[in-house]
Amino acid sequence: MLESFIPALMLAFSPEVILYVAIGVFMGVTLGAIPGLSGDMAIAILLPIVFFLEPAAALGLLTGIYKGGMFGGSISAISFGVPGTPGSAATAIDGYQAKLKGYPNKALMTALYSSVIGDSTSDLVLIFLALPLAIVALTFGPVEFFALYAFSLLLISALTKGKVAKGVAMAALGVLLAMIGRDPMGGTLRLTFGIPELAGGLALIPVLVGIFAVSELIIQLSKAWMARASRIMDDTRQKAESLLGDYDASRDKLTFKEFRSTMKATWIGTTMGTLIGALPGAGSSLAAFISYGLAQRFSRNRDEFGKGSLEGVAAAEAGNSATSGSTLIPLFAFGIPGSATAALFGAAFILMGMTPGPRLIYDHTEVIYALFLILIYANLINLILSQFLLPFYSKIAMIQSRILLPIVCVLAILGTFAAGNSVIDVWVLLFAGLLGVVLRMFNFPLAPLILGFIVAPGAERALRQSLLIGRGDWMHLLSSPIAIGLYTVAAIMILTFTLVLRDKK
Amino acid sequence: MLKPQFTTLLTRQDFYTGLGVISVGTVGLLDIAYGNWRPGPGLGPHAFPQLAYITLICAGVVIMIEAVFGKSDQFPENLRAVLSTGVALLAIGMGMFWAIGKLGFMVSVCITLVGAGFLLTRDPLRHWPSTIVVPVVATGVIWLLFVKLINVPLPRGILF
Repeated sequence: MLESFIPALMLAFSPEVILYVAIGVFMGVTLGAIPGLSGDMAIAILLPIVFFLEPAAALGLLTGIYKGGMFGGSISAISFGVPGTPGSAATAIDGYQAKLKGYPNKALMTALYSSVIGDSTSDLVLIFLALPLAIVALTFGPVEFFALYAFSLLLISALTKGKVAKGVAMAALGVLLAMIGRDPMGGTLRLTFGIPELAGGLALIPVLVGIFAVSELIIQLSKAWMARASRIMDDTRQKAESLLGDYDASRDKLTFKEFRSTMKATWIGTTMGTLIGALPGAGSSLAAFISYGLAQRFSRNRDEFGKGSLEGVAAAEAGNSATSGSTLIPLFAFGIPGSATAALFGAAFILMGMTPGPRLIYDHTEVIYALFLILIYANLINLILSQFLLPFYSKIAMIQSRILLPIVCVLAILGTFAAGNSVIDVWVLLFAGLLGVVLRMFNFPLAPLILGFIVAPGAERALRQSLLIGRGDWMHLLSSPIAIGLYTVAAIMILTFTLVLRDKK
Repeated sequence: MLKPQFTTLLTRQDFYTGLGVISVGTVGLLDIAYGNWRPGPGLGPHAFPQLAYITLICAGVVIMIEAVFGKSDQFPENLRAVLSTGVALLAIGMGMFWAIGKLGFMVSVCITLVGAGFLLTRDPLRHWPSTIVVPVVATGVIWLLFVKLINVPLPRGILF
C-alpha cells in the first residue's frame, strides 16, 4: 500500500486539486456564514457537478466546502448571534457576547484556531483508524453486516433529534424509497405503482438533493416570501452597525497568552468532538454543546462562560469541527455514513464509481490516500484564507439569503438534470423536496431517511443472503456473537443517550 | 410519573402523525399479503419491505403512545405558506424546464431568476442591483458552467 503513497502525494498536491480545495473552502465559508445556507447544502447542490470532475478534484472541492462550512457557521454566530449552521449554535452563546463586549476579532480568531486544531486532530484519527477497522470489516459475513447496518440505522435514528420513534420511522421510510424499482436479486418490479419510469428505481442525486437541500430551500424561500428573514437581517445589520461606532480594532487582537489560555478547552472539545463524531447520528451540535458543558465544568473561570468567554468559543468550535473527520470513519470502514454529510460524501463516491466500504481503501488506494492528504492540507488552506478574508467574511454574512436562494434552486434543478439527463429526475427532485418539507414541518429527522435510502441495497443483500444461508429462519440473524454484540451495544447506547438527553432537557 | 391524558389526545399533532405512520405500514403489509408480489431468493423480494413496514407500524405505535402520555410536538406553524411555496417552486421549476425547450436557456433562466427576485423583495425596483443585475450575471455564470464547461445537452429553444 505504501507504493501508492507517492502517486497519491502527486495527485493531492497537483495545482488543479489545490485550486479546487481553495475554491471549496471559500464557497464553504461563504455559504456557512449566511444564515439559512450551509456547507452541507452546497455539497448536495454540487453533487451532480462533481460527476463531471476527476475524483481527486471532486473530493478536494467537497472537502474544502465541508471544512469551510464548519467554520463559516461560526462567523454569523459570533457577528450577529445567528448560527449559520446548527453545529455553531453553541459558539453563538459566548461568541456573540464577546462581540457585544467589543472583541469580535478575538472571538473569530479563537473560533478559527480551535476549529482547525479540532478538525486536523479528527482527520488524523480517521486516517489511522479507518484502515484497521476496514481490515476487521473484511472478515464480516452477511449476518454481521446486516447487524452493522441495523446498528447504524438504530443509532442514527435515536440520536439525531431526540425522538427515537420518529427517527426509526424515517429510517424505514428511507429503506422503502430505496426498494422502488427492480428487485436486484429476482428482477421483479416493486412499489412502482404502475409507473414504468420508476422501474429503474429512484436515483441517488434527486432524492438526496431534494430531501436535503430543496426542502430547506423551500422553507427558506417561504420565510423570505413572508419577509421575516430579511427583517431579521435588517435588524442584525442595524445592531451591528450601531455597535461598530465605538469599536477599537487595535485592542481587539488575540494575544498568544489568550490563545494559550483556550488550549485546555480546545482539547476538551477536540476529544469530545472526535469521539461523538464517530457515532452514527450524534452530530456536530450535540458534540459542541457537550464540549461546551465539559469545558465549563473543568475551567478555572467557569463564571465567565456565557458572558463572552474565549474558552467557551474554543470548546464549542473545536467540538463542532472535530466531528468532521471522525464522522467519515464508519463510511470508510463499513460503508455506512454516520451523518448527513458522510451520506453526501458516500453519494459522491458512488457517483464516481467507488463503493464506500471496507474495500474502498484497497480498490482506490491512490484516491483515498490523496483524500487523506487533502483533508489535512484543506485545514491549512482554511486557516490561511480565513486569516486574510475574515474581515470580508463578516460582510458576506450580511448578504440576504433571498438573493441567493433562487440561484441555488436553479442550480439544483439543472444540476440534477445534468447528472442523469432525465426529466424524471427533475420531477423526483421536486417531489422529494416537497416530501422533505412535510417531514421537516412535522419534526421528523431527515438524516435517518437519507441513511436508510443509502444503506438499504446493501442491507437488503445482507438480509437475504443471511436468510438464504439460514434457510428462511429469521433467528439465523442472531447466530453470530458479533451480531449479538452489535444489537446489544445499539440497545445500550440508545437507552443511555435517551436518558442522558432527557436529563439534559 | 407520567399519566395518560386521553381528554386532549385529539388536539395533539403526534396522535395524527402516529396514525399516519401506522396507516402507511398497514397498507404496505396488506399490499404484500394480497398484492402481486412474486416469490424469489432469500424469502422473496418482499422480505425487506415487509421488515420496513413492520418497523413503521411499531414506530407509529410508539409515537401514539408518547402522544397519549402528553409528549407531542406542536402543530407546525405556517404549514400552508410553506407548502404553497413548495407547490409554487414545483410549478416554477417545471415551468422553467419547459420554457428552456421553447425560449432557450438564457432567456428562461433569466426570467425565472428576475421573477423570483421581484417576488421575494419588497420594493424590487429600488433594490434593482439584487433583483435585476445579480440574476442576469448569475444566468451568465450558470450558462458558462452548464453549457460551456460541462456540456449538458439541454433542450434547445427558439431564442438563446
